[in-house]
Amino acid sequence: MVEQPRGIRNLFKVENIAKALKALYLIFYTTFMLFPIIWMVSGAFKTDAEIFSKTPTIIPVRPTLSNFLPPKMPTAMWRWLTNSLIVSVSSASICSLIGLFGGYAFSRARIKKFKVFLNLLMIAYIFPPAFLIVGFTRLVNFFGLLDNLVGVILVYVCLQGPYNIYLIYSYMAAIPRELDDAAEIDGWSKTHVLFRLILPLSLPVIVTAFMWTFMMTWNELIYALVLLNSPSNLTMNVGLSSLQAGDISPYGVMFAGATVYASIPVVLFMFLQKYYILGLTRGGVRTA
Amino acid sequence: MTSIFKRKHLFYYLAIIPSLVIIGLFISPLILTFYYAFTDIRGNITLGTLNSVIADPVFSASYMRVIIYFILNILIKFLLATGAALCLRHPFKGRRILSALNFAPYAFPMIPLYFDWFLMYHPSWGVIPYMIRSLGLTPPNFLTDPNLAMYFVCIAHAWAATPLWTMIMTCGITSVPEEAYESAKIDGATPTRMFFKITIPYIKKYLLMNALLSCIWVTGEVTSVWLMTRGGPGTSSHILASYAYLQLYTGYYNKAAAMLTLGIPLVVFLMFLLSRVLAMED
Repeated sequence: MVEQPRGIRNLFKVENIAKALKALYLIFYTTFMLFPIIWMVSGAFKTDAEIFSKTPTIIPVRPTLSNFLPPKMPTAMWRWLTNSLIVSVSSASICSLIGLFGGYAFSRARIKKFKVFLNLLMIAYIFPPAFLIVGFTRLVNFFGLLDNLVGVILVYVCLQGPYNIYLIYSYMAAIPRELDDAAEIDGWSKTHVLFRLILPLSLPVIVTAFMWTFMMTWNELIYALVLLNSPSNLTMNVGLSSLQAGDISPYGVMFAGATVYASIPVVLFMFLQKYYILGLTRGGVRTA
Repeated sequence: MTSIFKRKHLFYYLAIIPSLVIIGLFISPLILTFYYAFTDIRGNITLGTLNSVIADPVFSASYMRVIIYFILNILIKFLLATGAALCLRHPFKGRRILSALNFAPYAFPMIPLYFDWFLMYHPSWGVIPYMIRSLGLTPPNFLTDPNLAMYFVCIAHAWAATPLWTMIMTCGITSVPEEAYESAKIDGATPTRMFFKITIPYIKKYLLMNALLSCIWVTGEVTSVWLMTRGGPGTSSHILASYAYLQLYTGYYNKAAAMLTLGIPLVVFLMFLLSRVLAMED
């Protein structure tokens, strides 16, 4: 390559214009992506006067914590947060456990019939959950579990279980069977093989499945909205949407609640990140 | 362990029971949905529910809006993501941090963020109308204009999934072998031509897969519509699933079931297309 002469004329060269356009686009894109999140977090620290002012500010002029504290923050908010945690943690735990057993059986048994179920699992994962809502609502009603967190947990397990099983299956299928065979020759029973050998080896994918289910159930609104009624039973999603009442909504409190709510999975993710990434790359499974 | 577990397959069969229960519990609501679609509120078997739903003009309008939602959704995500991926293709200082930061909307829970979008659009104190006003223009009534509301809901919905598309496009574009570009350059191909003739064919499978997946999930999309407009103003921003959801929410579960049943052929068709794409060679 010929050395390019440096000077003011270079500014208008095609490469430089392209570079400038790229930089401009990236600035636009990053702003578009991050602005709503920044707006939400900053709104949580604004006074009502500032939220409802005609000239919005990005950084709160007079930052306040009052949105997070009673009397502004309804005490029910903490109840809703606890409910959300109960629902998400229990459905994620149950799903991972079912996935552990199911994944093991699907990956280890040389039984032809099982292949059909694997396809069913994949279809169940792709099928939009909204199409099952009438059936699930009637089923939950039939078992008398309406307005009960147990009903919500059971529905979430059914909705998220298939993908969990599939994810864990595809990871376990990559663990060499020679390990099992060696252990079984040593006289280990299958339960021993599962809990002493396969479980430690596939811990990353179990954590990934747990995180996945946690996120999906944490993000779920429409089922919880029809299955739960009484104010003390709501999950955070439903609780926040029940605060939304047109122009008189307590927006500062909603921002504050939303910020707390959004930060919990982020914190969880930071703790489990090490395993999570390992699970994604080694399982060779797409995630969305 | 006891002798029972030494029999060859028994443990596998036991371990698989929970999975089968899950699959069964997943299929039974689907059957129930069909059952309710063909009954009336008293439980008599009838075609009346389906007929009344088909005759409902709001339902057919909502059904058509799903198609608009498909196109707009894919277009927004594809354009934004392709632009970002092209800009992020060559290494520069801070590229990793920028990519990580831009992934945030996908990692955040979506429900609070829909509230956030709702407030940003708000005509009197929302930040987006404010920005447009400060440019000296008159902002549209984002979520209160019956002609426009659904497009702005769609933008917020597409925004949330854009990071995933950007990641896929970035991976795709960087995975194209550099030799392909170099030989095309020697032949005198323009960057635009190289993009359409080399990059796009190379990542076609993943693009189609993601486009179809997002179509399938948009068919069942309720949350964004529900939280931002409740289908309003009037019924102007309802899409298929949100309108069915409204019926269920107000207690007409037979009607809801009938609407969802009519939506299932669309989902099945999209899933069929997806299976064809998955069977494509890389």
